Amino acid sequence: MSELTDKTRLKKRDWYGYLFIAPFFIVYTIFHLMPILNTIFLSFTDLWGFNTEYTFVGFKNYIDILHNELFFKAFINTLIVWGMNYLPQIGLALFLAALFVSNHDKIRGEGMFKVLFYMPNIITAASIAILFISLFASPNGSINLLLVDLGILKEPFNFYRDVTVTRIIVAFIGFWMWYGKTMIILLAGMKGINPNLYEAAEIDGANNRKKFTKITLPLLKPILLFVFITNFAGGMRMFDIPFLLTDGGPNYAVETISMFIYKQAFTGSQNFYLASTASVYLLMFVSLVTFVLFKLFDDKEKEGK
Amino acid sequence: MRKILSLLIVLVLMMGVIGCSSNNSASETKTGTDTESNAGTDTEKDAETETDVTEASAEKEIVNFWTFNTDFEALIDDYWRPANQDANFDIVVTVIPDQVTYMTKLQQALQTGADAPDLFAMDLSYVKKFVNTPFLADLTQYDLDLSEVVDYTMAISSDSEGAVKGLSNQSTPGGFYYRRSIAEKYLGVSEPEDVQAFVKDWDTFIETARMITEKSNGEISIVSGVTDFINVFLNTRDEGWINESNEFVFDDLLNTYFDLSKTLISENLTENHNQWSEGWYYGMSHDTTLGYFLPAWGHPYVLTQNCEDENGNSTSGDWAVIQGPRPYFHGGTWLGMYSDSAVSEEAVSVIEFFTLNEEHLSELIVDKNDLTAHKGANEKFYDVKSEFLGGQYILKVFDKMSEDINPTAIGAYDRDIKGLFVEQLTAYANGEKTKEEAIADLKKGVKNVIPNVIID
Repeated sequence: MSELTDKTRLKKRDWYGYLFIAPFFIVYTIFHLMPILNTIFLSFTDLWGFNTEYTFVGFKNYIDILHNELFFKAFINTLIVWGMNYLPQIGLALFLAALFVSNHDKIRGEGMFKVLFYMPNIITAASIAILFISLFASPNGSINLLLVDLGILKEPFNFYRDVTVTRIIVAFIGFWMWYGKTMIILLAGMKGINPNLYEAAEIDGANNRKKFTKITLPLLKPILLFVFITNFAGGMRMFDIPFLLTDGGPNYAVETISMFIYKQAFTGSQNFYLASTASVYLLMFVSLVTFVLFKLFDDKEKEGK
Repeated sequence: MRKILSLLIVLVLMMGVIGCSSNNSASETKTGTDTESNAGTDTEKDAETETDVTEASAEKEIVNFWTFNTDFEALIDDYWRPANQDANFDIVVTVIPDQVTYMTKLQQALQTGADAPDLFAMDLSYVKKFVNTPFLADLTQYDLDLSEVVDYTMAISSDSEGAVKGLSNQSTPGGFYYRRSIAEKYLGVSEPEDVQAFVKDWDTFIETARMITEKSNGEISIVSGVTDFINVFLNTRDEGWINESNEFVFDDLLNTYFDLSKTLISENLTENHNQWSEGWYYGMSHDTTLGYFLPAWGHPYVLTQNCEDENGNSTSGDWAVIQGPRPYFHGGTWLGMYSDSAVSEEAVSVIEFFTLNEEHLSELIVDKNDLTAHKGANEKFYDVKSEFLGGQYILKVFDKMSEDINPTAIGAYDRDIKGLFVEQLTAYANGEKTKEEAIADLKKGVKNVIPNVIID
């Protein structure tokens, strides 16, 4: 008898729990899941422009888009620009975080520094784009005027018509915007490391470099993984900065895969089917990389134990 | 203290939420009238932006009008409202300031029918795209007198079956506006007929460019940049980008454009500014550029607005306009009506007012000195002199030019392909790639935008 009442009591409690989490799932399904499924569905059709009718074409789009030079270019551009953005970013963020941790209580205005480092993340992309456009404009942009005045350049250099330079500028903007956030996260991670480990290491005669590479980095692995995954997923979706800066130019140098998708879907002949196909490829790529990384890190941990 | 602070934060956040919730449909909404005359069934301002206030019990019907800049908003406020004070409807204007965003929003609204505007403006670069859809109403079904409309403006807004899907209030033949004083100094002449001889064809144009740059030691250039010629070449081709067999056409005229740009840039004969950039505007109020390629509306809407420099000195009166090396046309705005509009009679009357009403158009000519798309109205002002242009009879000059306009090159994808073209032109002119590479890359870009186009 008591078993039955226990079960019914549990069921009642469960019911409330489900009720509380239902809103999230409902909203997620309607506004997140269904559009994603719709996109995947569209990638199997040929819907474009003003048409309201479409036909099924199976996997044709997936094969056709592989012949699209611009699609590959956009993919590779995104990887290149992201790489140029991420490596300095993680380096500087680690360095600054280590600095803050090891000199805790010795730096005056530590809070203010953290705010300053984080600030570029708060400014909107549009404002930053305007700033950098006028900074590097040719022939009368501020940087050009400065360099010519100082005699470093003989005549103004058209920054935004050079492929490499434009990529560096876009990567730099990404780096500048995000290093503060990465630093804060790493800092939080570092604070979670037991200081006794460092003391023990010091007694054994370890210097700062050894402490960092043998204690900090290994114990930061989960946080580093988190930072990498989120940065990678976000970076592959980079759109606003290259779009506002040079609209992908010069010569598609900074045309990212997000821009490719946007332009296919909302400009020109509005090829929704191509945009959907590219989106699915992007989704698969990011998922694959994430999955592989998780596997790698998991194995290492198991080995350690 | 903490309690007060947290209370303040809560209030501020609430303001944000309340403030955001009153803008639901368009990105920017402006209502042109006082709120009392539009009470309808709902006293809140929000209701005025919705299209379904068409109940007969409402005080006034609403015609929703979308546009991409403030020009038509000003026209409605300055001309339509005073002339239509006892009309039984009002116009609510929505301005979406960016052409690309505007085009996208308009397309979505018309396609889905949700919140679709009754009236909307369309720029030349994409009017053909909309004209060929079933979402625009055929204006020949309404009792309108289209006999005095400038032909090419109707040719552009007609679809393949002869239905007229839009009307324009402007005729936009293009010319070369030059500075009389600079011409006098470096060419020795300043009257239109004499200056025309120096720019009568492209070879002469280049020679004149070299002469001006040499005489002025590089201080003055003939034009601000090579994108000045964009409309001169693109709009006057015999064939557009995509022909009837869905093939991509690279008209031979564009080769001339490529070569011209290469010469001008490699010999440093221009300031290499892009049209509509800050540097491009600079020459209108200072002495750095001989002239600009602009159409009839360039004078009231561009030059007049930018002819004063920071010290208040104006270049007004120092200008004149001539045909230049090649007749062309540039731009134009068409008014279209949604085919499923609930207020079609009212909307058509607005279109009629702006494009066919001789009284209004005459007022417009007097105020702005712009050329309308109505031959009757234009003819009345042939002997009006323009002070800005040193006393020229510009309406007569321009109206004559609009008879020669052949708009066959205008197509639905003009806007998209133009961007690709300018990129390749700039790359070639700046020496970044060869002409073959530039054309090949252009073709690849077009194929990417229009996958089913045939490219050789």
